[in-house]
Amino acid sequence: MKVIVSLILVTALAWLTRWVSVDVLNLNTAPQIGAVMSVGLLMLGGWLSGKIFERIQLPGITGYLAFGILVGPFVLGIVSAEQILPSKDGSVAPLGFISDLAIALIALTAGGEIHLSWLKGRTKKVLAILAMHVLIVMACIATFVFLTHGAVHFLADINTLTIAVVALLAGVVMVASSPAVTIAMISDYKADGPLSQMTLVVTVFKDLVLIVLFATVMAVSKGLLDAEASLSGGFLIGVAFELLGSLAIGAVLGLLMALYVEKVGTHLTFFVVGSCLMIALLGEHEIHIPGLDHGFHLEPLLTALAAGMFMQNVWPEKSEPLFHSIEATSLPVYCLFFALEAARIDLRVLSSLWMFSLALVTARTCATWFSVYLGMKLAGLRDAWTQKLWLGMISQAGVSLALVGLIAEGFAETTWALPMKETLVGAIFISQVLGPIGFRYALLSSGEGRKPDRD
Amino acid sequence: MGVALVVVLALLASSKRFWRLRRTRVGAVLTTGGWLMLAVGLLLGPHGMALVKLDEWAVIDPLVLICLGWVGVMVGLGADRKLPSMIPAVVKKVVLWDVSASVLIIGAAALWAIAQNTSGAGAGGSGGAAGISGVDAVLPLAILLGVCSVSWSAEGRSLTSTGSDAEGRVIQVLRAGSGIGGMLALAVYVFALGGFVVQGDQLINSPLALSLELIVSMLMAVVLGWLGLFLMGLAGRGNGELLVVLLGLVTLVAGAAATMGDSPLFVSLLVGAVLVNGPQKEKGLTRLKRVILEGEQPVAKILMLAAGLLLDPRVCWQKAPLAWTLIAAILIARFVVKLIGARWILRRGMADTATNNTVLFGLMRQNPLAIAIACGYAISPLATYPAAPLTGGEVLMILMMVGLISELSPFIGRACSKPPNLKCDLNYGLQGGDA
Repeated sequence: MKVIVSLILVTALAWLTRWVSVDVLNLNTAPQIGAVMSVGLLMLGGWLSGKIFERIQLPGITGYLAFGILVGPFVLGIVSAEQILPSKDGSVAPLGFISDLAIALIALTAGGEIHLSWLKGRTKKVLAILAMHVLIVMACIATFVFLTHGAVHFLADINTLTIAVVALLAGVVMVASSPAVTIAMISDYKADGPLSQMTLVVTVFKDLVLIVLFATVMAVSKGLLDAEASLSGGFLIGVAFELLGSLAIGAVLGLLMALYVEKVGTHLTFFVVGSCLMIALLGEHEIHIPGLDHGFHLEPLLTALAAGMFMQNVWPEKSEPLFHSIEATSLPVYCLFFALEAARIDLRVLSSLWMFSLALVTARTCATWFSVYLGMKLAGLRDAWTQKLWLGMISQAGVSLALVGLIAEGFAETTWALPMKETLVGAIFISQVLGPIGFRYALLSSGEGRKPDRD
Repeated sequence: MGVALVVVLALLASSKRFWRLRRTRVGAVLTTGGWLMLAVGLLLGPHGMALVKLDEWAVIDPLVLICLGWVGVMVGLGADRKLPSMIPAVVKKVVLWDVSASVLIIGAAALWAIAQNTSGAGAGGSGGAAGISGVDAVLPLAILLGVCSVSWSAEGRSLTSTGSDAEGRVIQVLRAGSGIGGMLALAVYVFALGGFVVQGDQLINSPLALSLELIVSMLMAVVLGWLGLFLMGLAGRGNGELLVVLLGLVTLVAGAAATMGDSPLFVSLLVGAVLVNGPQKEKGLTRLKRVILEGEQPVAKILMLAAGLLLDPRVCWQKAPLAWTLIAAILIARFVVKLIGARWILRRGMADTATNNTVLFGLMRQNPLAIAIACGYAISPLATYPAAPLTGGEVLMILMMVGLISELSPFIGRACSKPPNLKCDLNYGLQGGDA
């Protein structure tokens, strides 16, 4: 009861402050100033909601998400749209960098959790599961969209080639799952064992595959739909640079971070946040390569992942204090990141296209179960935990949303891009809420995780 | 990328190796006063090498705000209710004199200097019927400069190095006075400037705004302070949960205060005071203090670097008459106010040696909290409304100049003191001197 009262008090105070400053005093407060209050609200409120959800046997992450939706611009409006959504002129929202910072921290943690020694002898198994999962989910969703397009108003009157392209793009987006949720859940439930390790490895490597796959499908789609845009080799080279560049820079950063721990070794929590900020900001800069038409961005997720992997597998002892600090820093970042992601969800979109979104989620869930089942068979894995691996692949979050954004941007002139984006965002939102519930069940029932007991 | 560079530099400057700079007098002044970081910030900023671009301001402002919240809670945690009974009467009297005289005399001197160098509507005139204009419009700035002159630096290493009992007593007076003076300065700042709000492009003085700001801020401080005590208990043993509570409180309080146009430093100080004086003095509070003190150095360094980024040195030549008159007026008024304070301490017999006389020059030096208060002002609407006589960056520059010049006073005082302080100089020589 005290936790609920605390949550109400925190929310009420933030609401009162906003009401007095905006509606009563009509003050000129810059969005970035108001954003600081939103950070505190989302962090504390998300954490308290997580506590409440844990008491009713639901994952803490679902609590963070629920609180984000509640205080976001589409319900209570305490966190305003101008603080979290990019403006019409394309400028980044004041809280925009928090997502990149959080993704960098999550990826750093993920990198630190990947032990190459564990992968030895299991590479073929991981590849088998990964390949089956990616191919089957993509094929199933693409087929589903292609077959049902007649029932969807914005796809009903377009030609077959365009429908095929839309179906393929939707297939790629729906393959993605969320390393952030996986890491957060593993960390929250202190899970350790083959299920959590396999889920983590497959989820993380799937992101690597997806970036290449998405870039290829986007290039092919553009080439097919736009007569003027030929399939650009430069685009694919740019993607290759993005991948390899991110991994290389990540390795260098890992080296520098290990050096800092060894030579300086103080204020590691601040150092972790500073490093993630640096990785996030590195991703904002466009890098131009001579001879290529367009520049490329480093991928914060890959850069941080490489840094984490490098430290864990090259200097495990030197890096140990750093990973302890990352563990301490993780919870505030998770609370903030997931609440913020949920606050961005436009509930109006979900209410208008929810049926198609729900159908997509159902198709994706079935395809995920089937693909993982086949992958396990192919890999020759028959242990009890293998029955639950698919539950770790349901969550979707940041990467999927980023891909949807790129589709909407890349095909902005078409009639289908915007409604398709809204449908996919709706589907991602449903998966974002349902995914942690399924993964929590998998971790607890397999005996790998234990309920958070912070006392 | 510049922002990340700021954080990395702040971390390096918080390392033990950098801390060793404090062994010399000049090193102690530069590091403890934050001047070095301020200079580095200036170099990185738009008026230096421009490594931090203008599009990164959206990150700088929140960073400053969070640091102010952190510093505020840290200062507030020192405001134990037993504190007044532990402080000698002479310190209380000197501090009360210093606060009232600094705000009134130095504020008046600043007001005079601004009025001399701005004319008509330029003197803060906001045009429009509803807005205030003329001298009234520059009052917030004058009050700010008065408040920033309250108190002095608590750093004692550059003043003395002998560590005798007599010296120790004066240093303790300086330290205690510096802490209490800083808290009182913040309270004066809030009460004096709370009524000034910017609506549209007009500055108005509204009793309603003052009342609402005070009520909501007090309510927030008390509720969040008490809530903080409960949440610390809820956080259990995990460091992650304690960090959620601490960061959540700091950002919520600082952000809410700034949203209301209030001082983030003051409201978070109140939260710290409620936390330390609350009924449940349990392990959680000790752990919270430990975490907050661990962050003291990086947070202070980030704040000073950010202040350096915000600095606008162009005021020294583009608005030269105003800037230099203001600096001179503040320095002269400051000298008079602090001299009276020093005489008071001398009369109480707390300083009876030549060394102590030079230590008293420490009263002239600016409290580092002044830069923090000015940072809060610089990112507030009061500093950015179109008719403000000086922008936030310009105010920071003036305070930096005042601070730097006043840092010289102990060195000048020591050079001028008769007979020469051989014991002190010998120690100084052994430590390697200034160079």
